[in-house]
Amino acid sequence: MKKELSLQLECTMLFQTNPYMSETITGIGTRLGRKTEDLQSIVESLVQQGILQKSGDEASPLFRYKEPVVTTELDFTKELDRS
Amino acid sequence: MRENAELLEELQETYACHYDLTIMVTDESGEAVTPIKGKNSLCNKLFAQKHENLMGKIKESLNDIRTISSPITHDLIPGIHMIVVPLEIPGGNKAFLWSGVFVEENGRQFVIEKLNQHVNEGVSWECVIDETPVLTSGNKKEWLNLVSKLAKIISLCFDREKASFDFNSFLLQQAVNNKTEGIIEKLVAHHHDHDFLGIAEKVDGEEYRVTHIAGEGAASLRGAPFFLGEGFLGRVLISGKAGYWEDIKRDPRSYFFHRFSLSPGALFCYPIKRYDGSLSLLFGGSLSNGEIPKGSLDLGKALANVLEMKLLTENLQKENSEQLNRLSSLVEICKLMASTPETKRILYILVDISLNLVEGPFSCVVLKDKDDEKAQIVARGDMTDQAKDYVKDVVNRYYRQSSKDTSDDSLPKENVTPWGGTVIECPLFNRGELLGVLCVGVEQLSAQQLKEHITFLHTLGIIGGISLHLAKVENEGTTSGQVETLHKAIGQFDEEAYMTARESGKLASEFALKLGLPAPIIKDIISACQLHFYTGSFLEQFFPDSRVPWIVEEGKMLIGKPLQEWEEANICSQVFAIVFMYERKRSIELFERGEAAIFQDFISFIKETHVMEQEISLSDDLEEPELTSFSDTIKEQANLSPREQEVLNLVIQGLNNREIAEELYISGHTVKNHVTKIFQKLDVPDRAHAISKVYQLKYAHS
Repeated sequence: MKKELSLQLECTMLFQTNPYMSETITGIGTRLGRKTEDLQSIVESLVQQGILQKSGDEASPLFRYKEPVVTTELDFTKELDRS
Repeated sequence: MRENAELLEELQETYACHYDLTIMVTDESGEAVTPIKGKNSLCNKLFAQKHENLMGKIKESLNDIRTISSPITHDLIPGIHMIVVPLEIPGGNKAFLWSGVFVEENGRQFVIEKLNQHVNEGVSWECVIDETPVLTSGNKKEWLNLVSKLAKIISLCFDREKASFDFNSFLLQQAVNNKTEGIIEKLVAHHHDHDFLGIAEKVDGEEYRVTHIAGEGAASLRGAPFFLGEGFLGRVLISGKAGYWEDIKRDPRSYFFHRFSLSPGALFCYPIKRYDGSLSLLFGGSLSNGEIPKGSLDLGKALANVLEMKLLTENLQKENSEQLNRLSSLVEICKLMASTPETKRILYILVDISLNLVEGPFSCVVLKDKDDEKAQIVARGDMTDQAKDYVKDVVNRYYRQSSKDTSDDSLPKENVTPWGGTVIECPLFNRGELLGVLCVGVEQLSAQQLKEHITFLHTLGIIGGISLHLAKVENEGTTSGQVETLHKAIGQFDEEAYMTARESGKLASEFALKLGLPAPIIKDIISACQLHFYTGSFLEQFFPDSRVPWIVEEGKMLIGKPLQEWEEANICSQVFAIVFMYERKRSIELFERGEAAIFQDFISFIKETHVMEQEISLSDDLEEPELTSFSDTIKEQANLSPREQEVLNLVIQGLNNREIAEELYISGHTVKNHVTKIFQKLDVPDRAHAISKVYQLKYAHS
């Protein structure tokens, strides 16, 4: 398990608990009680994974939770019956 | 140590010869700890005698003089003296330096007589005594000073041994506490038998590399690669046993060192067993000599053992800390899931956490209701355009093949996706019921990493299964279960009413879906239809916090009212009433003259010959839109005032004009004005269309 995984999970869970929160790195650091420099790579990695969405200006970007894609009612019963 | 011992002997020898003495060092019990040096004839003869043996006398005398702290002259045999000086040696032990023997100035004749009397073994004691240094009151102090100086020098020798001892102990301590590089550097600097020392570690497969190196001119070896079985080092890797080779300058196996401009005369190599079963090597050698002293080899061996223990401890500490991290992460995940009653959020947690963990290309949960033939996926990441094929395969394998929550079935499995990717599939069970399958794509993982991920995902799957079950029970078990029970009870005493309820529920569901009403509202309309047989006040007892009793009450009232008076009624009651009116006559003629748009919608709905079968499933819960999230969208697009926005939000929640007036503390007339303006701005004729438009905008926006 990666060293920074626990912090990554902590960060993910913060956004899952507050799905409508839009926060800067500093704000996330304050909420988690962590140093901003420790969070920088973690948050970027979450953006890469598509879990967070980056917006706002480059100097002080805002991050918010991006919900997973929900595909409903994939109907392939008939195909299955034939197989 | 050996160097110090030689120095000590040399010192004893020099002093002894120069002053005609015999010199030795004993421990507290009188045993010699250094060789007896010197040619003091009387002394040596007395050592050799059985009777009046000098060694015996020394041992005896130590009983009395053990506690001395300064040099003394001690008469071992009457008239015959030795000077004794106490020495402090490492480890807190005491030793004694013995120098002598001397004959007392006035006791010379007495000694000769005594010796002739007791030790008459053909020795001419007179001659011997003549050669023996004489101790007088005048020279006694001088002799004491002389021997004291010797004692001080001997003590320095012991101190040097002590320093050497301390260095070894320090080295081992460093090996445990500090970086490997520093330790081998210190060892090379202090032990001249080792011209270079290095450590080689496994890189990949059969390839090894020199990772640490110390010693003058040996830096070129850093990073040098070699393979299993290659040269001296490669052989140790194969045999797993330590090796020591002498005179190897021309040995072809030294080629590895020659390549890096190093030509060792002797080489040793110790294997270091690693926690993962692989081997690392500690090797070293002498460039100038063709052999390495045994003591230095032993030191290398000790260092290899210490390094092995150190690496093992580090690995165990790392593993322990990782286990603690995993455990604390799982505890946090459990807490989060336990505090999340929504199925949707639990699925999001499962998808996100597994993606966090594995950092693979995708993560998804495949869900399928047992009474439904449709599957649903909550996914993140890239599943390519073959996602549907893969989901079909997952459903086929897990839902069709009667998976049970046996220990084997619940274990995550490694599989291959149709597009050739690797995926870990983790079924989410709760007491034998399959609630979903968590599928996590993985990329380029070692066997060890894969094993760790599978273990973590297994635990995550167990927590996920239980959480999904709890959410299901909490969300559906209470209200839906009761609705189902009361609905089925109708069938026990009025089969026709039961059938009507069932059919109207189905019809209402389809019509409400066509209107674009949100899932929770549709669900309540269906429940109201299923329970239409009961009065609103009766249902109120079972569902005090639900709008179902109220839909039944108002809907039944609407049925009796002229169609023109429906405008202000709640959309739920309107759907309920219209469906039951239709069910009674099975004709749409009744609505032909209706002015309200909802009637026109219903007519066109009924006229449609193709009726799509649509199930209200978990997906609807998942897709339940958030009121707050679309407010801004509508506000911007329809240019609504804040008050109109408030009113619209309440219209969407199913409130009629009177209820909105009560909620916002304004008059019914004002509400009506707001509602009319909202309809104008949204360009819709009535409430149903307004709600439908809002959700259309919401979906278009999202």
